Amino acid sequence: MKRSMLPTTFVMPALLYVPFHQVVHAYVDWGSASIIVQVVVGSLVAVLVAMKLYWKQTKAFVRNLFSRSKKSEQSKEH
Amino acid sequence: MNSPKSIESLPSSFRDPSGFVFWQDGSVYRQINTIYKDDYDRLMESGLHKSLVEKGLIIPHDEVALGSAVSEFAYKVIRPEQIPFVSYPYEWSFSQLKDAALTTLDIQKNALEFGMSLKDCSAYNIQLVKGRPVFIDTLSFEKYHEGSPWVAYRQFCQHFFAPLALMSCRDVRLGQLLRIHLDGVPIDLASKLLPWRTRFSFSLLSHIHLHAKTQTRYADRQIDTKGLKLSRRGFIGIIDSLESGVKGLKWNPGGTEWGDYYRDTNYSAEALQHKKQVVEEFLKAVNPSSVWDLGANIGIFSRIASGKGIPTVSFDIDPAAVEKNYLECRRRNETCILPILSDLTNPSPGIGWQNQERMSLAERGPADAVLALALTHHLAISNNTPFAKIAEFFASICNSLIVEFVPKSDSQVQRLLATRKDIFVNYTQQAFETEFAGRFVLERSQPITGSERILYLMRRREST
Repeated sequence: MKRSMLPTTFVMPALLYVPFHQVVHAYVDWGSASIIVQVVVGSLVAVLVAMKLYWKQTKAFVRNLFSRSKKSEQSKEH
Repeated sequence: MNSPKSIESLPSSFRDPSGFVFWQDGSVYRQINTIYKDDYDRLMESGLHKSLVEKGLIIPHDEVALGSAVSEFAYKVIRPEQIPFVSYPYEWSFSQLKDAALTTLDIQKNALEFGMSLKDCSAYNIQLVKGRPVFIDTLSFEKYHEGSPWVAYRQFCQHFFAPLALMSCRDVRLGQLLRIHLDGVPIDLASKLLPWRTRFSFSLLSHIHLHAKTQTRYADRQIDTKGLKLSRRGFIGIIDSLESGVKGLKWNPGGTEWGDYYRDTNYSAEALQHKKQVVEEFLKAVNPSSVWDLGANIGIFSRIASGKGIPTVSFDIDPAAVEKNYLECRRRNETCILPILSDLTNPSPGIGWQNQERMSLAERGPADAVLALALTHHLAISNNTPFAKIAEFFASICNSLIVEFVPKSDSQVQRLLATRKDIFVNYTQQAFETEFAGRFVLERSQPITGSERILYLMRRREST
């Protein structure tokens, strides 16, 4: 993950949950807020997916490591 | 270019500069403007359109001669496959809206694979055709630029996710908010109406509650969003999150007014069988090209018509009945029946700009034949509507009418009268026949065996 993404991903959701006053008028551009939410949520999901992927790869690597050592032990016995 | 007299632009098609829809000689056409040339060519040449058509996700179209074009901005004119009955999201049951949402997300995923993306996600871009949701707006695709957020994200949340969440987590009747809010349910409203527990769902927390808070937070601030980038993985993550969120929303159709009607009626098996037989005979005599079944409940009689290959719209006021009807259509892969939610005492009006963007129910008619079975006593007694008014309404929406008269002595009418004063002195068979004869020619009538009810076959008078 890029360094600059950290505040976007973890700090902004927390900040956004502070209660704010309500503004409803005809000049509001709701689209900007939707872009911010997407960037925050999308980045978070991307990080989670990446972590899941790395975790799977790490698990597979460790499993391979053990099965390789087992195999080499078995071949020595033969 | 055609003379403006021979064509008629669709009142709902004026927002998108990429093109518009128009009527010509009874067919719908779409003009594609030169401004949309690059994206249209990409859609067609990339293979995305072909792939979507093969999967049944988008309406097929033919390119026609440019001579049909309406203005000098025309790049192409296409004639999409014609849709027998246009329906709107506020007329759909929970699962119809849910399937429409999942279809939209599926299209977006497909588009990404071809380097394109949906630029708008209006629920009005979906129509229910041959029993399944189909995307109808060929001009909604644009080139995907790496790093760009999804421009249609807010619209998807407003048109699909928010109403579905409200219907699932609060009350299914909140789907009617779509009739008031033409651009979907405002996110802050959805957030206020949803139960507090929905904050424990990741998708509802992020796409509704957090979304609403962010809107409030940045409502009166100028933000430079150009610098905000969303990786492709993040983009796909948003789509996946919305998809799992939508899939996780459930609603069980039960416990509403009409959901169990056929288990709670005074019809004997014999009478029901006879009624089906008479309806079938009358339909055979009319041989209609289209049928509207009003007060259809779960669509038992609609299926007599749709089973003959007649395009049939199956209306009911009860969300549970419409839901059950739709689930049955889906289970049986039926292509000729369309269940629709409609309150006939307050049918869909023309709404939107100049009250013309979305058609009223009457504008979408007339149907060749209408079935009004076990309905008139509800209109006459529950809604205090005189027979003359009921006949006038039916005459405005159909050519032939198969209508059932339920006398006052019938136990179902007695149920209606149990909690109200009987002010209906004119509720008699004779008054019914006299008033309907003013609008229709009474061609046949048949008492239903084992009941006091009578079925009529009528043909609308030419003068009405």
